[in-house]
Amino acid sequence: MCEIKQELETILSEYTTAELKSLSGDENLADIGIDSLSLVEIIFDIEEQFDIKIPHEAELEQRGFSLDSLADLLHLVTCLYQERQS
Amino acid sequence: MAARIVVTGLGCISGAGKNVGEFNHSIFSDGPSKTILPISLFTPDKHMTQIAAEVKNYAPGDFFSVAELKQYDRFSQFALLSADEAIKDAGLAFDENLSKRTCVVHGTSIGGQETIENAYRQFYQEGQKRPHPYTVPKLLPSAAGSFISMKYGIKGPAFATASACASSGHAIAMAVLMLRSNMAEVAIAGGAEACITKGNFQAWEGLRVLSPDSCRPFSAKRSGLVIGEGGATLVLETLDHALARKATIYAELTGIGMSSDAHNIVQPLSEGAEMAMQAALTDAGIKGEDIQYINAHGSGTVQNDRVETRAIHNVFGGHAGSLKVSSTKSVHGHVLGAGGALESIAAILALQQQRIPATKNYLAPDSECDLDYVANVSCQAEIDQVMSNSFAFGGLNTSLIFKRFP
Repeated sequence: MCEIKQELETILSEYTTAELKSLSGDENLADIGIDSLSLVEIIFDIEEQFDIKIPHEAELEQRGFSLDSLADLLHLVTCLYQERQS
Repeated sequence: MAARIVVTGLGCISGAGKNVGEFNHSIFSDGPSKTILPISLFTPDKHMTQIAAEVKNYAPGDFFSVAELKQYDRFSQFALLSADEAIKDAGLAFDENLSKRTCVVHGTSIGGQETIENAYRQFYQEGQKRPHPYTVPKLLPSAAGSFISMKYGIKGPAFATASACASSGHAIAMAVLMLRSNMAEVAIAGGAEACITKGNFQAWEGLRVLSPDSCRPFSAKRSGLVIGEGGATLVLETLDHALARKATIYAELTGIGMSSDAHNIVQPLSEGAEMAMQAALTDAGIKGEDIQYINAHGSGTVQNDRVETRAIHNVFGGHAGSLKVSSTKSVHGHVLGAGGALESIAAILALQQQRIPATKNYLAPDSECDLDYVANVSCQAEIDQVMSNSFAFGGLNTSLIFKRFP
């Protein structure tokens, strides 16, 4: 979990000037300067880094996931990563 | 006064049929679209979208010789087939004089994608020492226009327009400007696209705009766009030229509007769309109230449909609620560079038949898309003037207005 968080922060740090370690994680991505186009790139980077596939938005919604904050991303990636390993 | 421009020939090939007759049947038949189907041109990976609007039962050898197919990428084939249908439909014969007074403007978003992928896969991956010498001329975005001019001996201006999904909208607009300026009297204008290839789809997949299930423009639970392929061509000519040769006239092309968002390479902006629609109305010398039907860009993505709806409200004001607005992409898919021309044909067929093609696969109203989208079932309507919108990646926009003739 901690490693995933660190790797996520490394990915996100390319797209925002916000000091990620000082944030609670619940901040909206848009509020820390990450727009929807950057999010597309971030998802791509995450998929490559963790060798997972982040599903289509409709499926995410159905499964109760969202992509609004760093905490959302961490929760999603952790779940998908564990799914892949199991 | 600038010449009036009319449409005298139509031709198309797409997932919705291999000619205008089949296209007409597809867009006006009711019930769910049967044109968006599992991909057959390549085997998609498990996590990719599995659907597209492919041209079905298409064997290039039925239309072209082996020697021709060495030179024609799939997009050029579609361009040539649609141009051939349109030119025959218009009853044009290119004598020495007419060949010099005719122009060809054919748009494409990418050009020879199939050629690019095949040639370089063989070169980089499969040990082929060097690509075939025709690789370069075959993949050129301008190849389709060249082959059209070569086939019919058309010697006036010929070039391609490239503005992503507005490419053939711009092609038609450029043709109109050349006809109005007396640079030509006849124009072969349209677009073609054939990019249902694995590499291209993988790249599109990364943009997260491809729908996994269907194309449902303006609907709640819409899930993105579905890529299609095809070609569409219009024969345009000055009214005087058409009357002199007693041509059958489908419609008058009264207005063109173009704009750019100057905003973002993938995200649309309402102001740009509004500017294009307003420019087309101004060019046609009419008010919003004079339009009865808009064949919308309506790609089926969450953002486009919301932004286009807002733009229509802002341009048409109180009249927006009376407009019929539909997206035939729900039938023929997003044919990218061929879209502006293919959807212009849909708009002209609507004028001809006084019938509005439905937005298929529509599930339920969306709170941000609150116009009359002619959901699922086509309807009769009195239509005098129609608008066809194309709003492309990179914020490149065209709006065209066609009027019933006479």
